[in-house]
Amino acid sequence: MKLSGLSHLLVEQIAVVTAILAYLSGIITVRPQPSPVEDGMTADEYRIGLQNDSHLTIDKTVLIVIDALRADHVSATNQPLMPFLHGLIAKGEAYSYVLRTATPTVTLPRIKSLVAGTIPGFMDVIDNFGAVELTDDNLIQRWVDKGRRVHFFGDSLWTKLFPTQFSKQEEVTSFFVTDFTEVDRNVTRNVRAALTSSDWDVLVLHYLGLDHIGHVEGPMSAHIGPKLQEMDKVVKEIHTALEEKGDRYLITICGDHGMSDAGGHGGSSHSEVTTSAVLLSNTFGKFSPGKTREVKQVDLVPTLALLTGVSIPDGNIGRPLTEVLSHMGLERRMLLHHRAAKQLLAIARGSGLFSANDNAELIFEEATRLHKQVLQSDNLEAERVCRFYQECQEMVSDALSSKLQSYDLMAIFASNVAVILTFTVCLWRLLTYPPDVREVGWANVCWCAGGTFLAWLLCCATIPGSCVCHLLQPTAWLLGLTFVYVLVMAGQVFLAGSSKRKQRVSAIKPLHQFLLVGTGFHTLSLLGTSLVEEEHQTVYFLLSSLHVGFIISLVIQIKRKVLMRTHSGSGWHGSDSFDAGRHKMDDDDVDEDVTELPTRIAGRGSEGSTWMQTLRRTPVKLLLLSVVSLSLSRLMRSWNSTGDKWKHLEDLGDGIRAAGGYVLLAVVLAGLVVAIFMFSQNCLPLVLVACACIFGRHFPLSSSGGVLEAQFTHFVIIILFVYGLLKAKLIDFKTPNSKTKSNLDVFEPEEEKMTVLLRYSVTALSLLCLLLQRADNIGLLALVMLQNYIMSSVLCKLTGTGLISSGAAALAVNWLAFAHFFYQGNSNSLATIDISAGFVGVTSYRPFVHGALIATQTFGGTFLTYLSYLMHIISRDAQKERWQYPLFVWWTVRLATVSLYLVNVTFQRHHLFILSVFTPKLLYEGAHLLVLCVLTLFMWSVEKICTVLEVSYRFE
Amino acid sequence: MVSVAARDQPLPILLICKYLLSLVLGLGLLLTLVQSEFELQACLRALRIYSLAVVGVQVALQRVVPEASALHQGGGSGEGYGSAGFGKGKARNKAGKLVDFFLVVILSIFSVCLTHIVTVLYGAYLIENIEETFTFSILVASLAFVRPLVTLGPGALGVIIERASFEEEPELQCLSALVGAWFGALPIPLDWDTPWQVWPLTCCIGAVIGEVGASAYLLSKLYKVVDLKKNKST
Repeated sequence: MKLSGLSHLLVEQIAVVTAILAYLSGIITVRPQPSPVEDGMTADEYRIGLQNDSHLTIDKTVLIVIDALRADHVSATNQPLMPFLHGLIAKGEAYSYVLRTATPTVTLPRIKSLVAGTIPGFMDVIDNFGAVELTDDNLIQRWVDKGRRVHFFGDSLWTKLFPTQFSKQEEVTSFFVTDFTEVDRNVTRNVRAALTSSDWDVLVLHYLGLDHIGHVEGPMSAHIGPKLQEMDKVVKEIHTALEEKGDRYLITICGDHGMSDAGGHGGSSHSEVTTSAVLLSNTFGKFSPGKTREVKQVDLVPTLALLTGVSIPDGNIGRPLTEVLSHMGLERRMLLHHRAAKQLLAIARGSGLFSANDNAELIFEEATRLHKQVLQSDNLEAERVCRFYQECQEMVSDALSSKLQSYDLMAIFASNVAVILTFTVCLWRLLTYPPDVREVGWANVCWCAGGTFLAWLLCCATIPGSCVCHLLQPTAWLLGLTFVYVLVMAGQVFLAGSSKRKQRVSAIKPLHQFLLVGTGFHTLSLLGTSLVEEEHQTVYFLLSSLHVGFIISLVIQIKRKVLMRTHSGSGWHGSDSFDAGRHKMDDDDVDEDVTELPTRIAGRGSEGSTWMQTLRRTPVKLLLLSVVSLSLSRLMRSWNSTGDKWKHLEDLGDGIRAAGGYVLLAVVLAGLVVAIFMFSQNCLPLVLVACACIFGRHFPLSSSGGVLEAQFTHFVIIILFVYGLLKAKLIDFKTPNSKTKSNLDVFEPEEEKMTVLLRYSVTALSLLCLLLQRADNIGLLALVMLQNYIMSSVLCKLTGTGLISSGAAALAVNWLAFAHFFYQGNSNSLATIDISAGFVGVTSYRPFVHGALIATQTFGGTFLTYLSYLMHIISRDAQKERWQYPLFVWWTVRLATVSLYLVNVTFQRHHLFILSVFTPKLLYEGAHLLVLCVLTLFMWSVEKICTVLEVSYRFE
Repeated sequence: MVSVAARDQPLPILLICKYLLSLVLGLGLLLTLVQSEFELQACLRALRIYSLAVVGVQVALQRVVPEASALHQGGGSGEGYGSAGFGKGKARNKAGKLVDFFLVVILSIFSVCLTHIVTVLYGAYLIENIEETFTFSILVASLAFVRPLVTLGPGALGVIIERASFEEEPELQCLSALVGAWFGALPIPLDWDTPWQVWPLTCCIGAVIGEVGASAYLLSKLYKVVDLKKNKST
């Protein structure tokens, strides 16, 4: 088995990805099984609490979930956005609460919280697309078990969670985010029908329009007000209809999560994690309106369960809202509180949170004793009993909600060690680049596998109980794979130690030093939460400094040359064709412009210099290009403000969107024209058609609203790629005719194939990214491509002149890629992922396609930056070691960050911000890692295909 | 500067005074900033006065001891730096001096503008906070660019690049102020919400600290030289 170049890198990437998967499997969401609590209450005593309650049982329950309802939408007092609801709250006919939700503020886990009273773990975000049937105990199931007929209208997530429970349902999909009215009209239409009939007991509604407006236009949109009034009207309609019927009803209006100040959700800013709940019933009677309390979102579940007379779901960790129960008789209240406390204690016991004689249990026992006494004798102490129960509930509920996750430490530490070891191997290989190609014997692998197995046995003998020790779970296998790889590689290193490579030590230049230190600083800065949130600031700062560094060193070079010319003629060549020393071949093919330079200067004489000639000189050209690139960076960083602290500030993109009309049109057109110019050499007609279609997507001519155009663009892009394959002669329809082929081969050297293929790939991918962006981002993306082009050529030239080594250039490209990631408005919070990109030109629900499109939109800029740099290198020099080197550098940097981050998350797992900052960042780091893996895979396959074809041509 | 000090006898005392003065000025400014509790307008005013004072001290010293700069200037114009072509030759006439003076003034104003542009390119607001940004540019330009221009004449850039050593006074001061301002930007994104985290205070404080550090370093070096001489003479 021979591992060389990219195949080696690929194997390593697979090993690291498996280690990270093992790490994630070590973070477990607690799903405790309740263990019953004995309370010694007899059935008789239970009955006392439930007698003469006929005027309290609820006939009709309506649960209205308004997606992304902000807390201030309901609580705004001076100019109520929902006047009817506000009137009810002010009159004291409805209870209003501010709900604090857990992170991540994504719809699926929040719905689970709303019906099951549990807080799903962070990894549920990944399931947000593929929702499966909810197996935990939940309110809907309880209602169905009690024989209630549950009708549901709204978001299709619910019907996936509850495929059989609803006796009547109509779903709308949440995936056409530009649809503000139709989704809600479809729900309301059903509500009107349901209100006239009486074949339901529970009505669950999920309105999506508000969320869509937030995603597309933000919380300051002009559509928000009318939408909230529409919701208000729906509530009023339901209220009046139920009042007329005379049933005992309970209407609950709540949001599943809030909306960030930018309009998205998923993160943990205050406006995202707070939402509103209003409870409204004719059984409550009149009460004096109190202050709006902030409670947990899960508290709604036991409250609804107790009010509607079903038992609380087993997994619930919320506690009932006391105000809502206060209209009931004391016996009943005591009993309900007793039940809630009992359920909470059971779940606490199941999670192993409390030992038998803990405080909460003592309070519970005491309260139960008093409860019994009260039932037998007098009613005096009933309030106190309720308070005891509440205290017990509070203790348990708070303890449970803070203990969301447990950690399988062995799996976590083992994967940490594996990743760090891989990083060491990687670093060693980078330092001795290009590595020796060395045979890896199968026997070696077997030995290492045996060693891993022995180590595994030892570990499991000493620390049993970890999921690593279960052979049926994937963790053990994943980790095993990584460790075998690490061992084999370590063996290689050990063997190679004897044949010491002579390392030429070159003087490290200031720019190179700055790049190294800056990368280290960037990596280390990720340990602080605010620096993670504002990572884009770090990247922008470093990138601007790099540009300024380039400019200064170029100025120095130009000046020094002028000085030298006056002193001793041409001293240019001696100082500049000097190379960083890593590649011997650099000396052979120094940039032609540079070698030409001294002669040109010498021949020109000192007086006859015109400014045009000055401009044409390479260093001056590079200087100008650097300045242009720096200005581009400045322009792009003000396009989308991102992060946390300054996100709300108005940026250029907002301005363009607000101006709309001709400004937007101009920006889109300018962006597309730049794109056309940049890709004009790659089959111009197809590019033109694609750009026209992209334009049509945002300013549709047909009635389809741009969907048709988008689909056509997808089609054109595929055609373009296939055409690229044809151009590169990878697909050949012609009959093998060796004569003509050899003729052609003379004109096209073999490297050309890769260049052509890469050029067409870059074009196709750029067009795809342009298609997926929001309209105002098209101009930005065009600038990104322009900067890619400029910086690639500047870096290549600088590497050629020896101002920086190729490793340093790769580090610079890495910064550039990160900057391009943030320019697009991405951040380290899940809230900035643009879901709407997944539905461009897709008319039906296909999770895989949506996921791929969203990933392309989010990471496309980064990928393009890497790819266009590689393309640039290959087009100049297709030597294998040369263009593969950046990949190794990027991979090492990424691996360093990931291993540092894994260690960080492991040791800070009890940190306050672990769920809101560190875990999302870990997911993003994983995604960046995957981007590199995909890039490596792509380059590997391109290389393999090209070499295979080469060989087959030769044989012909 | 050490080489200069070695050649010119009366200079060390003057130099010590100068470095001490800049040290005291810098520390005084920092103290003023702390005492005003980082109230923005007061800070900006103090920073502007400080920048003027720094340039003033440099110019005054240049007039008092013109020989100190003669050495540099000879080197500077001798290199044939394009814009410093005037005044070439051994006997510098008055007109050449006047042209040099105007060139220095123009280049100084240009350096302030350049600093402003670079600051904006680094991410400062274009229109909002323009007063703050401009104050910052004046400070950095006067610390880092104007002083070398005054000392070395209009050919300062050429001289600095040709010498390429960071042991000499103008380069050291220039570099330390720039690096200080650069490091000053690091604490801006932190979420401490302190009054001094406001733009441009962190960067200005960084630049001043850099300047103070450079002065202290130069003083210590001078002290060593003087010490050595004493030892030799005794």
